[in-house]
Parts: sequence; C-alpha cells; structure tokens
Amino acid sequence: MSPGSWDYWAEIGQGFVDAVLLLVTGDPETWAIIRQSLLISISATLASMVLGVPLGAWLAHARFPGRGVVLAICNTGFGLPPVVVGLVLSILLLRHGPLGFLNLRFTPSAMIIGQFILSLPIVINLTVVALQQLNPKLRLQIRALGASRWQTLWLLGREIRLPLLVAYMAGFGAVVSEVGASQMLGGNLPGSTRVLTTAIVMETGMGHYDRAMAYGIVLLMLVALVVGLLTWAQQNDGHR
Amino acid sequence: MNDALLQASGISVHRNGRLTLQPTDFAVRSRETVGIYGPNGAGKSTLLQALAGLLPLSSGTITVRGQVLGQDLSPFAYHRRIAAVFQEPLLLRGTVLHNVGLGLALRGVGKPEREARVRPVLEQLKIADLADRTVGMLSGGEAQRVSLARALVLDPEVLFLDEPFAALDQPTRRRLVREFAALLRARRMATVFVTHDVAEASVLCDRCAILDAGAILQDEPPAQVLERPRTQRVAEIVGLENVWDAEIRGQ
Repeated sequence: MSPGSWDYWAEIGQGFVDAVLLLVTGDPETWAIIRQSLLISISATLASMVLGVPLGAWLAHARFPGRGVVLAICNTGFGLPPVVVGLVLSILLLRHGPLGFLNLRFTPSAMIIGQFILSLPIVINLTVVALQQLNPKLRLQIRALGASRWQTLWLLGREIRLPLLVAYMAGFGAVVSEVGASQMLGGNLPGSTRVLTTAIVMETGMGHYDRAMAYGIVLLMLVALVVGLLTWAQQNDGHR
Repeated sequence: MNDALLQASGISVHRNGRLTLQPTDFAVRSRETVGIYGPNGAGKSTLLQALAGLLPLSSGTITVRGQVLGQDLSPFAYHRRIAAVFQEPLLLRGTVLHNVGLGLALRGVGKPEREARVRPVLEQLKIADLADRTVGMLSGGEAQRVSLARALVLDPEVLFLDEPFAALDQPTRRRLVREFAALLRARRMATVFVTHDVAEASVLCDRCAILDAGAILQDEPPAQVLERPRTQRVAEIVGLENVWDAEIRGQ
C-alpha cells in the first residue's frame, strides 16, 4: 500500500465509518473508556477547584514574604510537564516508596491525584487573576454592607463565577487530553484506568485505527463541548 | 461631648507607611449630617473609612453609643448598624432588587419582608420601574441611586457617604443632590458626608469639617465656615477669593 494510494484512503475512510458505528451502536468497551475518562478527569478537576479556589482567594489578598515566589510557582504549574508529574508520583507510589502503603499504583485514584496536581495551579492562577481584576473597593463595600467573612467570600465568588467556570474548564481540558501522567500512573488497564488518551496511543500502536479514531472523535467532541459552554457563558454574561 | 452617637478620639491612620490622618477628634451626634470637605489628598476618604471601621487605626479609639469599637463592639457588629455609599456604585451581579435587598439578605431577612422593605425605598429614589433590571444595564445616575437605596433600606444608625455624587454629570448630580437632601431631612439619620463641592456641603450638611493634609482646620456649620473662615488656608480651601491682608489696630 503506497502512500496516497486509493487503498490507503479507503482504509482510513472505512476506519472513520467504523468509528462512528462504534459510538452510535453503544459498543461497551468504547463507552467504558469514555466513562472512565470523564469520571477521572471530572473528579480531579472538582478536587482542584475545592482546594484551588480558596487558596487562590487567599493568595489574591494575603500579603506575606514569599508571596511572589508562590505565585511564580503557580505560573510554572501552567507548564508543568505531565510526564514529570507522572514520574514523580510513580516513584512516590512505588511499593517501597513513601506513599507505597497506599497501594495506589495503576488505579484510577492515582490518575486522579496526578490530574489534580496538573490542574491545581491552573485553577489557583485563574482565581487569583479574576479576584485581582475586581474593583478593590468592592471588598470594602461588601464589608460595609455587614457581610461576615463567609458571606464576603460567597459574594466575591459570585462576582467571579464566569472566570471560575473558565478555570474549571481550562483545568478539565488540560487533564482530559493529557496522556503522559495517565499512562504512567494508570497503566492503561481495561475497565479501570484505560481512558481516551491512553487508549488512542495503544490502539494506534496496534494498528486499530477505527477504534483510535472513535476515541479521537470523542475527545474532540469533549473539547468542543468545553469551548462551546465557555462561549455560551461569556455571551450570556454581558447583561450581568 | 456625651450626647455623641459616634465619638472618635485621637484617631490616626497610616497608609503605605505614610501618616494620612493625623490624630483627630471627631464626633457625630444623632440626626446630624456632618460634612468632611477638603482638597484632593486631604485624607477625607481615610477619615470616613476610619470612622466606618473599615480601616485599621494607628492610634485612638472610636466609641459608638458608649461602646468602644474593637473592644465592646466588633467591627462586624458595627457594620451591621451602619451603611456606606462610595463614589462608584459598586453594585454586584444581579437585578436592582437583588442589590438593594442585599444588606437585608446578609442580615437573614427573608425574601417577602425584603421586598416589602425595598419597594418603598425604590419609590423614594425614583427607581421603582428599574427593580427587575440587571445592574449592567443602568446609567451612572441610576446605578448610584441603586447604591443609595441599598444603604437607605438598612435604616442605618450612621450613614457614610464618600463623594457619592462626584462621578455624575452636572444635571444628574444637581437633581440627585436636591432629592437626596430632601430625603435626608425627612429621615434625619446621622450622616457623614465627604465632598469636595462647597455647594453640596452647604445644601446637605449641618456642620462641616474642613480637612487639609490629614488634619481638621475648622469644624462648624457651613455658613459659618464660609463667612468666617478661621485661617487663610480654610478660606483658600473653601474657595473664598476676596482675601485681603489687614492688621488689627485696636478693638
């Protein structure tokens, strides 16, 4: 089969048709992978929001020596190489490693931890930026209105709900399409740690282009969904 | 001054390492509107925010009806008894109704009662027809009316106003000042009003403190300040132009 030949394109085309069939016929293996992908990445990003938003809120207003360093670390976190996170966590999770007793290697939990670490700096950073863009006097006004500490946090969070949605989506988009850490921490075990990205790598390696393309299409649709939701939210935010 | 509702004694404030308010005594009696007037950078907003318990003090105490702020009275509890309006409307996401009812909501007032209390204030400030509008769609004047309504609906013991009309265009500003002066006269709540407009001060205030470089130079009714400025600096600040050098040759 020479490159550019009819057979080549026919096979690719057939692969695409098969991919669509796999998706619409509800192939159990395909759907198990999609489910695990969503489950792991949504859990990881939710966890990073739970920790990252309060941390970001604190960092945005706290003044302490070394604050600049912490912010710089969070900025670096934007470019944190997933393979390095995978490597470090793998070493820590080795049976005789410091976290070996947790017995988490090659489990979805290990993948959630890895993806959590990857999306945390993104969430912290976007929270800090969003809060710093608010009018600094707004805090004063909210306090003068008689808000408690928690009420203040709640009202400020409400003000930046769109940037928070962006932070969540950015975190989710980053980790759902990440392959290095997932492969190293999960090990691509069917029904458990096999997710879209690791499955694409494996099926492509094995020459199963139809399946690889099916997963690729789903991944693209997920990203399109994320972008679409963001666009919709931004458009509907104009009226406040 | 034992009849003072709010008594500040020797309060001073440092901001970014600079003394922006020199040790100052200041009192607000109930039902009185006190103006704080001075040039830009005089420390007017600093004094107002300090009195409202929104700034850490470098020295001195603030007493609210005999209770010392920070000792007998927490800043949080104090803030639930006052209200503040700033130069910018500082509204939060949502409708006019939501914003005006926000202070009440924070105090745990339920929705039906909130609406019942908000509606009349919206009427008073002539924004009743805007109740369901989102705040992003308001003009500057309308937004500032919402901010004033948000403060008035709380029926505060002391109302703090930090140049609330300064950012408005002249006609809007004149109309709003006139309406608001009538509202204040009807309600007679203790009010601290920062301004750099002499006309506003004389329309709204019973008493006016002239502030310069973080110190109060004179604190008397506006008419008195305008007719008998105590020093040449006060005369300059309130904009009196016909100042002549003179010498007293005997009484």
